[in-house]
Amino acid sequence: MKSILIPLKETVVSAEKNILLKRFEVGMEKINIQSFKLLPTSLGEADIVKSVLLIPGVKSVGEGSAGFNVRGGTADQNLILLYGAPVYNSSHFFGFFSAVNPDMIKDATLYKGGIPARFGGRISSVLDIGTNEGKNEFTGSAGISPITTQVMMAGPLIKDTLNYIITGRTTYSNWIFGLFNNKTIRESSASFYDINGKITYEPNKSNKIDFASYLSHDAFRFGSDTVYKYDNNIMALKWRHIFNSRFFSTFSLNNSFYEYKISSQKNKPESFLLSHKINNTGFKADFNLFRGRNEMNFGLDLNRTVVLPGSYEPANDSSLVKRSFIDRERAIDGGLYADDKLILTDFLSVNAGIRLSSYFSTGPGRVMVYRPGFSRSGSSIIDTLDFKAGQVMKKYAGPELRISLNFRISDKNSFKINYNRTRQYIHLLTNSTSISPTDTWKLSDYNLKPQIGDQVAFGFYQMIFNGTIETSAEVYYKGIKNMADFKGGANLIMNDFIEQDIVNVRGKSYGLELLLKKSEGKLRFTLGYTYARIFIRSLSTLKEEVINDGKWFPANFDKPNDLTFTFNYLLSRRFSFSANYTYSTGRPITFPVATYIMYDDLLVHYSDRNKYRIPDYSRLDLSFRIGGSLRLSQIAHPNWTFSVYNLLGRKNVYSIYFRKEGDVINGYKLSVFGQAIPSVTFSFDF
Amino acid sequence: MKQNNDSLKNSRLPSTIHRFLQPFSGLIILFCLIVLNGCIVQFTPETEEEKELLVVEGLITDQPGPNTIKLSTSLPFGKKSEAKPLTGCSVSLKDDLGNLYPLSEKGAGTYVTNSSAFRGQAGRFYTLKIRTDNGAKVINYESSPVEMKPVPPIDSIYYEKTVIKEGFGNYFGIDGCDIFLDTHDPENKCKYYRWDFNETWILRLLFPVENIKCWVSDTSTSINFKSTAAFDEARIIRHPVASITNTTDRLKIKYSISVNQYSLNEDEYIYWEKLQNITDQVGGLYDVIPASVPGNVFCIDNPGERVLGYFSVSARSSKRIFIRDNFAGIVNLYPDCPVDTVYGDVEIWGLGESIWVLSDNPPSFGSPRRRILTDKKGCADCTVRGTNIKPEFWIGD
Repeated sequence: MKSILIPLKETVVSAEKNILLKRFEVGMEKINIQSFKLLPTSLGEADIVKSVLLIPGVKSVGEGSAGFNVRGGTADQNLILLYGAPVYNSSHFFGFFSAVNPDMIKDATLYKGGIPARFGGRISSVLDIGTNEGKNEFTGSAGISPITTQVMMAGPLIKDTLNYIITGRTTYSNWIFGLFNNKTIRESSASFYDINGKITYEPNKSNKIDFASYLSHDAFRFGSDTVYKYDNNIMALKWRHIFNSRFFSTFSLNNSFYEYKISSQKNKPESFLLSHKINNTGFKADFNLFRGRNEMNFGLDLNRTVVLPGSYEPANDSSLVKRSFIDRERAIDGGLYADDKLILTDFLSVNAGIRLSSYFSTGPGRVMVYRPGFSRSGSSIIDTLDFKAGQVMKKYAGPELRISLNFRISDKNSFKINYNRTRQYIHLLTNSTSISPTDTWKLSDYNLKPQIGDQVAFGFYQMIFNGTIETSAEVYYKGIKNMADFKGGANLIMNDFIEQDIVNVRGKSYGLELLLKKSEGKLRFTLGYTYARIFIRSLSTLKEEVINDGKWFPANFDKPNDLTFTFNYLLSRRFSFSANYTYSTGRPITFPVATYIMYDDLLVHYSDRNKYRIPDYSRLDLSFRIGGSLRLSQIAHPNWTFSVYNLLGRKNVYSIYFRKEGDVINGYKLSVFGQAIPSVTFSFDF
Repeated sequence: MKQNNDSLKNSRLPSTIHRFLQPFSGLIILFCLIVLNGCIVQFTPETEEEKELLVVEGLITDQPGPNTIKLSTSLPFGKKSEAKPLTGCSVSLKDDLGNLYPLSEKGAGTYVTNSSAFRGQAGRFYTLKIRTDNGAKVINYESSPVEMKPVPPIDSIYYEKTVIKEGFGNYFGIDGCDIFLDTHDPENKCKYYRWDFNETWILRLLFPVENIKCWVSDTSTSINFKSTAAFDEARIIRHPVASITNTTDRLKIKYSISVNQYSLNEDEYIYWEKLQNITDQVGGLYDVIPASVPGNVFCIDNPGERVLGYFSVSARSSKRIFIRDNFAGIVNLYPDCPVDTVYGDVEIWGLGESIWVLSDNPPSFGSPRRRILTDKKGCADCTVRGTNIKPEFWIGD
C-alpha cells in the first residue's frame, strides 16, 4: 500500500472567540489574511484597502480613488502604519491597487473609534498593518494576474536565530498601450513596483530585533512629454525586549519618505519639473506591564517631520521657468502616554488612557501675520516674522483622553462606552473629491491650527447561535474642529501663501453601524449596514470664506445608507467560493444651475456646495478558488483564482462633470468600471 | 518688522501648471477605456431653477472712446444660452479723487461712458456703482475699488502655418494657422495679462454678383490670460492667441487680426484663473470641486445675493497683422449654390426674397438670356456675412 502524505491544516486556535465581548475598544476590527485573500478582487489582486472598505463605517469616494473615509473623516485622517511607520501614499496606480503587497501582510487592525493611547497624530482611524516574518523553514510563492506579477521568499539565514522574508511585485501593463494606433497613447506608459524585506534576529528568548524596509515606486508617462513619478520608502528598526514575564518593552526607530516629481516638456520655454517631498523620522518606546487585574501600557514617541511643499524648476536650459520653491516646513511632535486596562468586577472593566500630545513648528522660516477679522490675502498682512533655524515658530499641545467602559451583561452580551480625543498636525491639501495625484502634505503652522476630533461611541455586542454568530450595534457622534476647506477654484500647487486660500471649517458626523458575522465553519459571512452622516460648516463671517451661507452641508463622502455583504463557502480544502455585495447612497455633488455670458464666453454658475447627489452605487463580485493538490510530496502547489468584479456590469457613476462644447454645456457621467471584469490569478507555493 | 505689501505678493504661477492635471485625468480615462471599456455617458442633470442673478461684464480702459458696462441676468442651466440684457439701470463710475461719472444706456443692457467727460488713467482707482429697478424694487450694487495698472505694448504678432493633414500623391494636404504673440515689460510692472482680438477677412463669392467682395469680422470667444509672476523677467514668448483651422474661410484670401493686450490686477488674474480652473479642469477623476467664483461686485442691500461677472479695469495696447499666404484644403462654405437655370426673359417669382440671381448672361449668337439662380442669399450677396465697405484699417486690397 502506498501512502500519501497529506499535511494537516495549520492549527488556528480560536482565541478570538468571544473576544468581541472582552475587548475594550468600541469600533475595532481585525482582518486576518486568510479571510481577506478569500474575497473577490477587482483585477486579480487581493487588496487590504478593499477589505477595509467592507467594514461598516468605512467608505470610499469611489473606485479608483486612493484612500478611504472612516466614520466621516477625510482620507488624510487615517494613520496607516507599516512596520510602525506612517505610509503617506496608500496606493499604486491612482488607487486601483493598495500600496502594500498582500504577500507581506499577516493581519491588519483598524481602529475606527476607541483608538488606544499609544497611537496619535490622526483623527479618524488607525490601520495597523501586521507583517509576516521568516520562519525556520524555507517557503516561497509566485503569482501572476492580468496586471501584476509577484514573488515571495522566506526562510532562515541562521537556524532559530536569523530569518528573512522578501516580497516583490511589479506591473507589466505597458504592452496594453503599445496596441494602440494613437501616437500619444503608444508613447504613454504606466508602471509600478514595490519591494518589502524584513530580517528578524532573535538571539534569545527575551530579545528580538528586526529590520524592515519597504520601497515603492510608480511612474506614468502621458505621451512623450509629461512624466509623473512617485516614491514611497520606509525603513524600520525594532527591538523587543522582555524584562520578565510581566514586563515587556518595544523600542523602534523608523523613517518614512514620500516624494512625487512631475515634469512636462510640452512647451519648451515653459518646461518644468515640479516636486513635493515629505520625510518623517520617528522614535518610539513602548512598555507593557501586567499586574494582577491590571494591564498597563505606557511610553513615548517622538517624530521629526520635514516637508518640501513644492519646488518648481526649469526642466532644461531653454526653459524660461524661474527656479522657485516654497520654504520647507519642519516640525517636531511628541506624545507621552499611559493607559490602564483594569478589570474592576466580573461585570465592569475600564480602559482609561491619556496621551499628552505636543507639537512644535520650527524654523528657519518666515510667517505672515494677518489682520484679525479680515479675510487672509496679500492686503491683510500686517506683519512678517522671521525665525532662525531651530527656533519654535508655533507650539500646540494638549491632553487627549481615551476612555472605554465594558459592561459584561452576561456570557453572551456586553455593552461598551467609549470616548476619545485625537489631534492631527499634518494635513493633505486637496480640493478635488478624492485624493489626487498632485495633492501635497502640509504641517500645522502659525496660521494653520491642528485638527481636533472628539468621538463618543456606544456599542452593544451579542453572540448568538451558540456563539457561532456575532452581532454588534454601534452608534457614534464625532465632532472635528479646524478642518481645512478651500476657497472656490483655489490653486493649491506651488502656492506660497496657502493659508490665504484655506477656509477653516468644522465637521460633525454621526452614525449607526450594524454587523452580523459568522467567521468559522465551512460557511462564513458578514452582513453590515451603516447609516452615517457627515456635515461640514464654515464658521467664518467673511464673505470670501463663507460656504453655503455658513450652513451645515454634506461632505463629499456623505453616503447615508451603506450595505455590505460578504459570503464564503469552503466546498472542500481545495475549492472555495466567495461573493460580496456592496450598496451605498450616491455621494453629494455640486451641479451647475445657471449659465451666463461674459465677453461672449459661456460660463456656468454652480449650486450650493454638495446640494445634489450622484446615483446610488451597487456592485456584486464573485470568485472561485482552486487550491493545488494536497500531496505534500509535490514540489509546487498551484492555486487558481477566477473572479468577476462587478458581475452585474452596473455602470456605477464615479463622477458627473460638465464640459463646454461649442455653444453648449454638456453633462457627462463617468464610471470607472463600466462592465463586469473577469480576471484569473495563478500562483504557486514552493 | 513691517514690510511693504507689494514685496509679499504671491508669485502666482503661469496658468499652464493647472492644465497638467488634464493629461493625468486623460491617462486614467484611457486606462479605464482600454482595460475596463466604456466609461463615459452623456447626462443632463435635473436641478431646481435658481432665480435670475445680475451679471456684470464691465471693462474700463485708458483708451479714448466710450467704455462699456454690460448688464444682464443669468439663465437657468440647460436653456438656450443668449444673454438677457438688464435695462433701466442707473450706472456710474467713481474714481479715487471723488469724481463721479454717470453712464448712459445705449442699447438694451449696454451702458456707456461719456467719452468727452471720462477717460481712464493708469494709477487711478475706479469703483462701479449700479442701481437696478424692475419697477417693484430698487437694489444697489457696488464693486470694490480697482486700480488701473499700466500695460506695455505688444512686441510682435506672428503666425505659423500648421499641417493638419499631410498631402501626398494627388491628394492635397490641409493647412491651418496658429497665431502667437510676444511681449515684455521693460519696467517689470505688468505681471498679469489678458488678451482678446478682433479679426477681419476678405470673402469673395464664386459668382459675378454685385456684392462679390466683403470684409467679414468676428471677435474672440474665450478668455485668454497669463501671469509672468513665476518668470524672472516679465517676458512672454510664443503665447498662442488664436488657432485657425481649414473649416472656416478666414485664410482663403486675406486675413487680419488685431490683438488687444490688457493689464490685470492680481485679484482679477486670480478671478480668471479660478474661473478657468472650475470650467476647464473637468472630465477626470480628480476634478476640482466646482464652486462659484466670487467677483468684485457686491449687492449692498442684500449681502447674501450673488453677483456674477467682473468689473475689469485695465490699460490696453493693441497690434494688428495681416496674413496672406497659401493655405491648402480650406473649406468651400458655398457648395451647391446654383439650384436652377432660367432661359429667356421670363419673370421669376420670389426674386430677391427666396430666389437670387448668381449670374445673368445676356442673349448672344442666338442663345437666349441665361440666368443661374440660387435659393441661398449668402451665395448671391456677401453682405449677408460682412460689409462691402473697406474698413479704415485695411491695408491693400
